[in-house]
Amino acid sequence: MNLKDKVVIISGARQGMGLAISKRLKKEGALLALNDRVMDKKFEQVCQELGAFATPGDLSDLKEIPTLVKSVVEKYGKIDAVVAQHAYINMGKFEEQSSEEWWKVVNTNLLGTYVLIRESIEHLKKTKGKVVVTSSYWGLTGWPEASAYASSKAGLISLVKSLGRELAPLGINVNAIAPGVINTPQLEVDAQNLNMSLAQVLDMYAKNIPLARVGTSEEIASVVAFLLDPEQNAMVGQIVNANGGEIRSRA
Amino acid sequence: MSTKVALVTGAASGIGAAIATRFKQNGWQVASIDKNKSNTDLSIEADVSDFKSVNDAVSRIEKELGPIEAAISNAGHYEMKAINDVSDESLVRMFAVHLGGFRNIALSVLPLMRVRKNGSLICITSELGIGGGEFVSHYSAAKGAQIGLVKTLSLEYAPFNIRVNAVAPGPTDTPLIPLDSPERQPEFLNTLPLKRLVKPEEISQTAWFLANEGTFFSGEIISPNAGAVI
Repeated sequence: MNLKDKVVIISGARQGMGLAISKRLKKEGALLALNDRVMDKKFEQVCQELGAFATPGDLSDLKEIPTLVKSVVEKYGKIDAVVAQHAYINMGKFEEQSSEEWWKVVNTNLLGTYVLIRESIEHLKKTKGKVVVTSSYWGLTGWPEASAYASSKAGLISLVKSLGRELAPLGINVNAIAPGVINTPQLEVDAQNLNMSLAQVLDMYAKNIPLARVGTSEEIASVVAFLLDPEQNAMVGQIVNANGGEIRSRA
Repeated sequence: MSTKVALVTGAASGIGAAIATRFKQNGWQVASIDKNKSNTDLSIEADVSDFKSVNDAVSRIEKELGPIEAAISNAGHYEMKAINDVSDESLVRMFAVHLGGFRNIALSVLPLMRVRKNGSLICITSELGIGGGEFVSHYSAAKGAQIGLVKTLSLEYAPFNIRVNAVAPGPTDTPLIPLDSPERQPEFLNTLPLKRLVKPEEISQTAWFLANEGTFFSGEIISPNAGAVI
């Protein structure tokens, strides 16, 4: 596969899956424009190591997004792909979660992705580019105490299906990935919330997964590479599940 | 280092040939089971609907080339007919080749993979097995049945580190779609979001991904289908 000089925007690139995706696409030759919520030491280091253009900004602030996209075009002259990987999660019982928290999840994950894609379309038309959206298996199955997160991820699935249909005639492929449980820094947060060790949390999740382990960020990065492969253009509006067999192709 | 071995059924033409070519180009040894001769390292002419032929072929492949790491069940045929015109014979044949052919491959390779605790079994099914279609009752039923078997086998064999998955192509530019088929006419192609048939190379790229990098995929269906089913 060759992504040499393809300009890719990756949101949520500072850690976890976003970081693994950034590293993988860099290896394939892509030019990276990386977004995360704020510019801190760690994110600065990531951008430096990957020779990436940094475009920090909170994507729940929709008004910032056009400027972000514009800055990438000013830097590189084009956009070949958008990987919308950023997400915010806040667990809580439906009746107890504040409206503010609930909408922050939906705004960040769903509306932020929506506007990021919308602002990129005119540029993707010129390059016959691609969009990869990270949804979640919770967007397919729902999850207790994750009503906002599951709603936002389910909304992304419908968005990808619609845009898959709408943009394919323009030469833009839009697809989604629905990861299962992946070993990312989020699991450390889960461990803290559940008052368990990370090893216990990994064991707990692995029990529900036929392959008997959680996934790695690199395995998700390989799915992004698969979808961005210039040889592959027949994937249109699809939800690609990678979950170790936990839900077996519901889409 | 020994070369990895892939088994591809129906490798003499179309999608199967594209898959065989891609694995060969990437340094694998490829064996095929097809009614016709294929351009592979070991071409065995046999009917996938016959269990004994398949089982014997798998033994021979393992003996001559080495352990099969990826098996791709792809052999099949296509027919458009209203349900009232589908004879019992045609119905039974459709199921014997698609569901039976996949089952025969699974029965032959899974016990070997289970001992080695490694392997990838890939079934080439169809978007018609997911979304259905007009005048393909027997074909879509057989393809849908493959999907049920993929999901069940994925659960049964995941504990042995064997991944069972499917690729569900859309209408693909192969000899299965004759040159005068309505599926090559603009009226049909315009119904596809991509406005064209899928290329065999887009299917082989997907099978290659599943066999090599799709290590967290189990019981899944990937659909490079030009947007035929979304």
